[in-house]
Parts: sequence; C-alpha cells; structure tokens
Amino acid sequence: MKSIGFLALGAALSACATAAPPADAPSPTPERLDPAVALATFDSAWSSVNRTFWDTTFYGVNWPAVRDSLRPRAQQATTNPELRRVITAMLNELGQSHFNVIPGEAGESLRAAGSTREGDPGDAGMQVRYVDGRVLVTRVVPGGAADAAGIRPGWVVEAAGAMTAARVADAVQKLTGTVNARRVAYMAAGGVGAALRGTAGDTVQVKLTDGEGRTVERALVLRQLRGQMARFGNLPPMEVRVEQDTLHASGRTIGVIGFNIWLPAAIPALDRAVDELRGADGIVIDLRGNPGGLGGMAPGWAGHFVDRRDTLGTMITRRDRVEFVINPRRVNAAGQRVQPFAGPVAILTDEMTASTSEIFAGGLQALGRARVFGATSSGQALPSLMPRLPNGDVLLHAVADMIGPGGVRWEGPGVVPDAPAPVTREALLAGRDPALDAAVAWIVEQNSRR
Amino acid sequence: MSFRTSPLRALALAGAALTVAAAPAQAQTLPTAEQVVARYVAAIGGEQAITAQQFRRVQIEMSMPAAGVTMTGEMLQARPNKALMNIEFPGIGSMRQGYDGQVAWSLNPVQGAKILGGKELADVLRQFDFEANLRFSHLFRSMETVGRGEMNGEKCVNVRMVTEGGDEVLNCFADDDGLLVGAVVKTSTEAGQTESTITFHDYREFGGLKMPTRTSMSAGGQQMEMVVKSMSTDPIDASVFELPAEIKALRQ
Repeated sequence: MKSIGFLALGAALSACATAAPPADAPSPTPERLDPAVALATFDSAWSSVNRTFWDTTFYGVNWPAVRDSLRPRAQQATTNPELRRVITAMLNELGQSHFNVIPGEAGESLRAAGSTREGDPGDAGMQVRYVDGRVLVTRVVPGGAADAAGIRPGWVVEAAGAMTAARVADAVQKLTGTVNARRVAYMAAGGVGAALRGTAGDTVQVKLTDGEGRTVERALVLRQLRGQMARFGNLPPMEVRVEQDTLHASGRTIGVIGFNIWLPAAIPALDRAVDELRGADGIVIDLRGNPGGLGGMAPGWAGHFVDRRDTLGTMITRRDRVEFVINPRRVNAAGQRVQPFAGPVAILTDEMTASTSEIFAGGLQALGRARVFGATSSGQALPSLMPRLPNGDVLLHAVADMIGPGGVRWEGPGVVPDAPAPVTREALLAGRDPALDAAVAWIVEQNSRR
Repeated sequence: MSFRTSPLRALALAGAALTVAAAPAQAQTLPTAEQVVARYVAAIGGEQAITAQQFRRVQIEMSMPAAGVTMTGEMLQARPNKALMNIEFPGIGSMRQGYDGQVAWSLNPVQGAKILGGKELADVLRQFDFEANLRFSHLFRSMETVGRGEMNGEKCVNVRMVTEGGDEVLNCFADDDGLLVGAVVKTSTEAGQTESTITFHDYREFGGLKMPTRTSMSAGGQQMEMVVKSMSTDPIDASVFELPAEIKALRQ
C-alpha cells in the first residue's frame, strides 16, 4: 500500500473472492419480506452496480432495461430467498464474476451451505473436485470425519446428502454451453463441497465408489473446523487455515505453504511460514481451492518473493488505475533485517483457484518470478466491494477490471499453468499428487542447475 | 496540504479553519488565487492562530460502508513536520505512517515496512507540513482561480493548484465565508492514477482554528466518511515520533 491513502485502502479492501455456489439444502421457513424492503433492496443493488461498473457500456448489456424487466418480480418477492433469486438473475445478466448476493446472517449463510441448525461450523474433512464427469475425493484431512470413515483420495462421490451424482450431472448439463468447462467444474465441485459442510455434529450421508469399484456408504458426523474463524467487513465468518510442510527430494529441502483464503487473520502465519522456510531450496505455494479474499494481501505477501519494486497488476475503475504495488519485504515480523526469498517458487493452481489467488499466481508468473503447476484457474479475478443491502444481505459486486503485468487478463481465461498437471483418479488412488510432484521435480532441477 | 485522498490529506485540510468575518465575495470578478487563499487563512483563524500551535493530536473515526469497515485513528503532529498517523483496522491491526523529520515511512501488517522516497516522500512531506493550510504558495508550483462553481450545495470559487510532481487539486472555497467546501484531486503515483472528490462539513473551532469535523471522500466508486472525535494542542512527547524498530532495521 503506497500510503494509508483512501483509494489504496480501498484497493486493499477489495474483496477479490468468489463464493461457492450454494447447495439446495433444506432451510427453515423464511420470514415474510416487506414489499417496500424488497423493492429498496433491489433498487440498491441495481444502483450500486450502475454507479460503479467499470465499463460504462456494461459490455453491451442494457442495464436500465434489465432493471425495468426484473423490478416487478422483486416487488412481488415475499421472502428473502425469492428476492435473492431475482437479484441474482439481474446480476447474471452482466456475465462477470464477483456479482453475488450473500445472505445477511451468518447462520443463514451456513444454512445455505447445507446445515439446518445453529452451532459451530463443521465439515466432513475431505475436498472434492469435478474431474472427467465425476466428483472425486482429492484430499482427506487426517483426523477428520472422512478419514475416520476410511474414505480415501480417488474415490468417486456418488452422493453427499441431497447432492447426488445425478443432480450434479443434470446441473452440469444445464450449465454446459452457458459457461466454460472450468466454471462448470467450479460449480459442480462447489455444490458437492457445500453439501459436505454445515454445523459440527450434523450427519451427512455419503455414498462413494472406492478404488476397487465397490459402493461404500457412510454417515459422516461433521467435525468442528480446524482453522480459525475470522470475520472481515460485511463478509460472513469464514475459516482461515494456513498449513506448512517441508518435503525432501534428491537431497533438497522444499517448503510447502498452503492456505484456504486471503484474509488478514492468515497474515501472521503466512509471514512466519516464509521466515521458517527461508533456508529451503525452493518453496511451493499451494493455492488449489483458494477462492481469494482481500486483494491487497496479494502484493503484500508477494513482497516475500520479489526483491524489486514491481506491480502484480492494475485495477481499473471507471476513473482510476490503482496498481497492486509489491513492497519487497526486507524486515521480518520480529524486526530483523532479511532478504526476500530468492530460490525457486512454484505455485499450484486448479479450477477452484480464484480471484486474489489468481492475481497472486498470475502476477508472479507474468513477472517471471514463479512457475505455475496444475490446472488452469477459475478465471474469476475482479476486485469487488461488499455493501450491505436494506434487507441485511450483502451485495458482492465487482468495481474494476484487473489487468496483470504485460496486459494479461485473468477474468475468463484464468491463469494457465506453465506445466499442466491435472489431477486424475489413477494418480489419487496411487497416492500421487501430479501438480505437487511436478513442482518438486522442477525445484530439484532448478537447484541442480545452480 | 496534501493532494491525495488520504485521511491524512483530509486531516491536513481540516486542520485549518478560522472563521473570520470574511468580506463577501465579489459577484462579477474573480479574485486572485492569493486573495482566495488569504481569505481562507483568515476564515480558519488567521496566520497568528496557525503559527501559535506547536502540536496537534486529532482523533478520528472512519468508515467505508461498501466494505463494512469502521476504523479508528489518531494523527499526531509537531512542528515543523514531525508526524505519526495510526489507523486501527479491525481484523488487520495497526496501519501506521510517519515522519521523524528525516525519514518518512509506512508500516502495516499487509504490506510490511517501507521507507518512502521520490514522489511518495514529496507527498508525505506536504501532508505532514504543520502549516500546510498556510503555505499554499510554498507547497504548490502554481495556483490560479479558474471560475466559480458549486459543491456540496454551496457556491464557491474554484482554485486550481498544481504540485511540483504535476498533481492537480481543484479546491472549492465558499463564497459566503471563505472556508474550503471541497476539492477534486487528481494524482499520479507509482500506486496509480486516481481522481477523488472530497467535501468538508461541520466546521468547529479547536485550539483557535476552525476545522471540518466531518469529511466525505469518494473515489473509485467507494465512499469514505471521516469524523473528528477530538483534537488537542497539548504537548506531545518527542519519543512518539521516533522510528519503529522495523524501519530502523530497514535503514541498516
């Protein structure tokens, strides 16, 4: 951040995060909505976008006409869920990422993610991805519910709660042709992933196909999230988790840093991880599944790996251009003089890598400072704001375009890996991680050339 | 006086205001920039009141509704240009910027520690000048009256001021009392090119000087409101302005 300037502050605050699509989970009967509030909420959402959308032609969308056609439906909405569907339909007309309505209350957000009751948030302790027409378990968290139930990476998810493979296939079919394949994969995995989260203590029935082709059914009791719950601004509480590991390959020591979201609560652990891995022969930054977060954190953390003043990208609003300036980090958190990490840096991405994560990965890639491994990222990389609407919901709306070094644009195309290493069922069943394996091999090779 | 849309700028601008029974503006002819500025200085309290102050401690509250964030902050200043600004950002922590008379710096958890140079340094020196509201002619390369206008519902005289670095400020001085109503600021730095609109409200007297207690800023589709909670001119210990350990380490 250049100084504590307003716009720079605004840039730092820009929530470059995407929201996973909610599952169609049961929810309590919603309260009736006052028609005046419904209309005010719709108008507020429309006006916010009208005032801030960076392209004054709205990329050819007749924005006033969109309002005129949907406003009567908003007026007739009698519940918040109904109103959200109308506003979402309006926002979808723009065809851009980062236009979402986030339910106002944390409990409501949680219920939208699959739970029907209040309590500490929990999950099944497994990650999933949509690969070759199937939802695969790509990671099982040691000690989590899935681990305890014997579920292993590479297994195929046939059902998670009400989210069955047939429903996923149906949704995929409807989406195909309207959005690109990565967005389809993002939505499919996001929907199943949401069904695997809820309130700690909830039970989620899952049905899977194991490595031998056998059907396995389990009742997973969701366990409390392992990370720290953190709030930022109008966003609902979210889990923040930073993981750090050290691998050894061909006599080299390789640090691995993975984290699930760019929120300030992660900063101390992220800074500490770089400090502790400063002597490593290379660092792998695992951004797979990381949907973004606070935009200003990307250039801030990039300063640990870049020893010159540079920019990760430019945020272009209607009137302004704000650079994501990298400040080389030459002092650590303890106040000691250090140098930014100078060894090889590999970044792992997949179709669930979005927003701030794409700015970070794509920016360092374009600057020639990092090599990207894995799958092409989500392609949702727009800085956004999150004002509260009259009904208490939060409107996530992009306010700027984002252009990377050399003019590269990640919105849509995503960050394309230098070394594609997509995940496969065979690799997962064999206990391999193609992207991480390729990144480690590259770091070893880089060191042998030194 | 600074020209960027920072809270610092708003504070600097706000930190000067004396209501003097200013002469009514001439309806037909435009006053010179020097005349407008002289009237403003008189309006906020006069040169003597400005030069009488040795210290300033201003406590503020800022909010950015579009982000759902409310911050508290404090700006400390001592003659001639020592300054420390600290904003406590919920969820992030302390965001600081300062100048000890020799080194300008910034320090925050997101970007880390940084010593400011070049245009950034020049900007900060203007922001931190204790007499920023008095020394327009020293702080701007040029200033000229460019017409009349209206801002925030008040008729005003527009004075265009340009810094050595080429940044432009269109200051709007009220016809009726000479106070600063608002400004449109265009800047270009390594952090980008920005245009912002600032309006000042609710002038009140603190330590013999009038300053706006509410400032609204708009830029990039975002709004920010800043409210002065208190201001004092009591002495401030010099140690407050010493460089933080992180900045000292950077200088090694």
